[in-house]
Amino acid sequence: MNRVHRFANRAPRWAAVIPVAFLVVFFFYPLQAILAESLRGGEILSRLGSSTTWRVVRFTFLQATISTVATLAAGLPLAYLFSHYRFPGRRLLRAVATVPFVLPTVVVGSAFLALLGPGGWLGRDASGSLFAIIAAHVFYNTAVVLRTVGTLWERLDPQLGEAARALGAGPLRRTWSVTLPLLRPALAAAASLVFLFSFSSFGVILILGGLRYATLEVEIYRQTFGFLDLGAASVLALIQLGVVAVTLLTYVRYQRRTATQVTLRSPIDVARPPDSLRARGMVAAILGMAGILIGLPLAALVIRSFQGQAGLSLQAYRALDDAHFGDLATPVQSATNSLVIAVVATLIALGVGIPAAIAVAPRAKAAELLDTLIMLPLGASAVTLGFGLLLALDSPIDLRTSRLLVPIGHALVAIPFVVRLVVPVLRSIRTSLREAAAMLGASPAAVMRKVDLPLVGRGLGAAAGFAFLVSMGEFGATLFLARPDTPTLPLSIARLLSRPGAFPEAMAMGTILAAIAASAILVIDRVAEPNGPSREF
Amino acid sequence: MLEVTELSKRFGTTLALDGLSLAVPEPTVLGMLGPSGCGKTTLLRSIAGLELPDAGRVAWDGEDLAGVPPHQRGFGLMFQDYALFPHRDVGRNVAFGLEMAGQPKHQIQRRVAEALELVGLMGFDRRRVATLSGGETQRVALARALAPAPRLLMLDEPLGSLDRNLAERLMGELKQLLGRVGITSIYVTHDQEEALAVSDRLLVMRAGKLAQEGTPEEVWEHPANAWVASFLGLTNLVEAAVADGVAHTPWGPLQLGEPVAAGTYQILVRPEAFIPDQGGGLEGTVDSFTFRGDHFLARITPARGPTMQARLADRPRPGETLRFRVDPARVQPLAD
Amino acid sequence: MRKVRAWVMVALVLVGCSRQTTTTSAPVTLLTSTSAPPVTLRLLTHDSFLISESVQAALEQATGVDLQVLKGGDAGLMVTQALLTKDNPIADVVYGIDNTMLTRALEAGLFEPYTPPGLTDVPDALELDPEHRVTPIDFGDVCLNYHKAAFKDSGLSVPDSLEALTLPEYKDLLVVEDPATSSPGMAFLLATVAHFGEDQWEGYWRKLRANGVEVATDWTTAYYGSFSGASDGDRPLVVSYASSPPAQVHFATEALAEAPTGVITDGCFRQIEFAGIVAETPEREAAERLLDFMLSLEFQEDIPLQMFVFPANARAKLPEVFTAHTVIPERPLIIDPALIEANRAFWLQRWNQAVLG
Repeated sequence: MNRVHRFANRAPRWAAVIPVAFLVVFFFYPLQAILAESLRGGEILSRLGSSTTWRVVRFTFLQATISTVATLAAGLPLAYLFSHYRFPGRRLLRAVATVPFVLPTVVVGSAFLALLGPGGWLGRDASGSLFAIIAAHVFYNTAVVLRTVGTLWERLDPQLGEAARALGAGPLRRTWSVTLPLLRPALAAAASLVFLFSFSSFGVILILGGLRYATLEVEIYRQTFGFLDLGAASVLALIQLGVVAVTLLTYVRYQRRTATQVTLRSPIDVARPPDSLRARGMVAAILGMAGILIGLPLAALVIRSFQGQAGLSLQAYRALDDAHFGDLATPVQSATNSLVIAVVATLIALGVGIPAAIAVAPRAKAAELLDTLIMLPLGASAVTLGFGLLLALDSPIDLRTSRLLVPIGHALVAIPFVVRLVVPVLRSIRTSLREAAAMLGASPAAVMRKVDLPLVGRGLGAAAGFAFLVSMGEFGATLFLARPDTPTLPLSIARLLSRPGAFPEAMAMGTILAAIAASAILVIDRVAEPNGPSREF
Repeated sequence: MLEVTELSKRFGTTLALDGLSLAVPEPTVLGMLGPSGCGKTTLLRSIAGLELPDAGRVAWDGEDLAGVPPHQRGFGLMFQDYALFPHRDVGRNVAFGLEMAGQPKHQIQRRVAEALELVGLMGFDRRRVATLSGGETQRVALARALAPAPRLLMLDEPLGSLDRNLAERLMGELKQLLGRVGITSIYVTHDQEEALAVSDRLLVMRAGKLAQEGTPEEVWEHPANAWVASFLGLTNLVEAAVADGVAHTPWGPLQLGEPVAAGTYQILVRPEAFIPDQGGGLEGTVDSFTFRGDHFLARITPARGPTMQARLADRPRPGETLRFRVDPARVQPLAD
Repeated sequence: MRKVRAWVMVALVLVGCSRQTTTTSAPVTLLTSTSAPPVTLRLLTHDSFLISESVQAALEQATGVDLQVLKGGDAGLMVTQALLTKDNPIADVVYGIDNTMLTRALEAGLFEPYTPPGLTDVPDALELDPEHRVTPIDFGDVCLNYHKAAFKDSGLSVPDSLEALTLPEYKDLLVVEDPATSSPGMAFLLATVAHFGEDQWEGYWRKLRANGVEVATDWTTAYYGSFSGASDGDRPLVVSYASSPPAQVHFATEALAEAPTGVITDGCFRQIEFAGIVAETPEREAAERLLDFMLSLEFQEDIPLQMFVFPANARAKLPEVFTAHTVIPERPLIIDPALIEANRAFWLQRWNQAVLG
């Protein structure tokens, strides 16, 4: 029974207008401006015909695919762990596992260099390898799997699995036939987000990929920075956009086929302490794996921040406050700036993302197109977009150097997360609830206000939290804007890293950022998770 | 008054509604009976405006409702899964329609209390939806649908998810309530007992078309064709040639109550047609039987012919051989 | 929805309030000698731009200017931004454009000429534009740095020339940066072009490659990843700046008597940074005052410890940490900006082939 019902399930007309308008003004119009400015016909053809270009495209695609698979392989057991077992420190560990997502690439790169570089803990130089790139991507993106798949998993009705068990299905069979199909929408959402991130990954590839491995984004940067050749960069950006658009359309079409209006339970009901030896063993094994993939780099970061001239000390932290760093690094100001920008960016992301989710949730063909458009910014070239914004936004209002531009840039990247998180919850709302409301006299707008939004309520908390985290850690996109001088934590860290002798201080600031992120995550989780009785959706 | 004219609706390759027409005078409880997939829910949803028909029209008091969205039609719909809002308590569920109509708060409070009293759930207004029993849920759903005083109430299998006893008890209550409120309603079900009990007028649907229309008694006493009879649970149906008022059935020649033209017919022998009579011409052994409260329904294997369903006043013994005569008044020739 | 709007208002107010918390904010004295209100002057620069609070205050007082600093990433990106917005400029003054991109900016007509009186104190070698469309403010030298302790321990003598790097005793000891993604990397490439000439620099790089040169993608990865003088890396030779050793001493949290690293003066490439007044700016007068101040001793003497480059004004005194721990090369390598502009892409391609191909 998956028919699109004409009236009760139709989104209010204005729901699509807001995100479309936002994307047109802040994404498509700037892109069009920069591409028109810098593309020359002959250039396009020669670039498209070049084998180097396609080698780069192939590699970008390859590493993104491998990263996605690896992240899912690492993230799913962890998601399972957190959603099904309760044990001391669970909340904290889950927050810590989400922290990597917020760390800027410069920090992650440094931490990984400490682990994998020459003189690193691994013993030999593994930097500049595909392995390093994949490891860094897994480190970063496990959080995405945790927050999308994990959130749905912990709300799945355990009775479904138990029914299967009563019918004689073993655990593997149960997972394959019952759990995975139910998780499919979240799995697809996670896979698409991780793929996009890995595809347009820049900092990680630059620092850890060495020179052998170039992705489209790195090539674009190289053309812009080194060759000062905007035309070449723009062609690559166009190709990048094309590949991303095709991938997204495929994903969105696939999503259409997944049904599921499932009963969602409160997470309290589902999780329980590990009771058997086998369960405990599994918990330990998964935690061990996570410890290596996520804990080690974080540990490297933190330990390096405590490195003094002789052994461990708090020197670096004290120095941050010190006079001779002066205006180079002031943690309080940078942190405040980061937080303020993150709040504004979150509000924008919600204001655009919620109507977008409402417009996308009913599975109409037009909605599929909107869904693809919303995800595009994640895969687009940050360099190109930054220049585009500069070129395009000068009239009627000159926004080019406005303080709002940074939160807007963050919001562009956060909105896809809001949509991906809110849509499954919207879709899980029984159609009959909406129809009942309509029969009782509720217009489509009233249905959204009085039925959809209250029921989605807590899901909004998770979406807002994610948007906030994305903004806190955002570094690449806003690097290419001309901004008024309000350094955020990532920017301050980058500054410190460009000074010889300030490395421990940079790591110290990175640790502070990680600590703030972990606290923010803990707060968000507490607010977003209901402790009340189970509710049927 | 609701008028449906030549309504058709197709889903993919399936024709759910095939040129259906009906009229519902006020105030009436119109029952719609049919097996699953016959299109009765589609019909309901088309009247409600939740589906758009491919052809035909739905009109109220002569006014064509095409283009009028569901929330503006003033119809109430009680859903099969009740669809109570989980984020609102009972009182605020019932109040929903009144809120949408923009009624003032004190009036809403009054109407909610009235509606809850009507369904026998006084004092339930603060209860959480998740804590209600099946019967209570159904009543809240009804109260919610009735509170805004819709001009038409539609009920989609309202007793479908309740257990048998509860359903039977509520059947009577529902009929009484609908009569008391005096509201025009359409009652959809696949259970013929329910339909017969609750309706003032009955429609039997088959594959998107009307199979029969009439009062419950009419339909029960004179099913239009073999299919309707079989759906009503009357299973003694055989094909037979009729000549001179006698049907030549596998059970032997049976006298017809009313004469018809000669030809081949589906012959319905009602269960009560078999009257135990030592001197009767039909003999058979009792296979099994069920007790129905005031009678027994027994399966009889006759000496010749297919198994019959007979209604007996007294408890038979299994394996017992009985002799019957057949009451012609209860033998009906039917079309296909 | 109304609630959301309210929160957006609150947030915007907060953003407005946060204006006060920028790193370069300083209390502007209300008692100025001129009674005119401060003129807002927009300065486009790169992310490494830094001046101390006291100098900022002095700047605003001396020039009567309220300085709005716009940061545009690193130098190359900043130049692109300036060029893209040429028709409707976002700034009145651009600072940070260096000699490797100078020609591009000049040919695009980005600047209008101005000859500040302070130019008389600037050595002629730094004035690359005879038309004075840009004013040199500071210069930095990209030089090879070496890790003193590593060389002492191994007994090797520190290489004293570019040619020496190809000798077998220095195998696997050098790390450089990719010129396509790193400014010092590009500078070092240009140094080799200048030193060996257009016919022979490629051969040099092939020899370096044979001698195990490591190429990092950017300075941070090279310096903090592979350079033994600043990390656990195993390479004691790195392409960095002449100002890197003093920076190490300055930022060290415990006092250092001697810098752990040193500078090799052969093969240094000079990067000169310029400031220019954007063509057709409405604030010409204020821009002139800003440029004047940037050449003043007060500003120039603040530069070394803030941005770790050398002041263009010859009369400016260097801080002690600079004089003690580094030297200004006497004959740094330099190439005509027009030549760089014409050959940049070509040289980069040839470098790629020689080193990576």
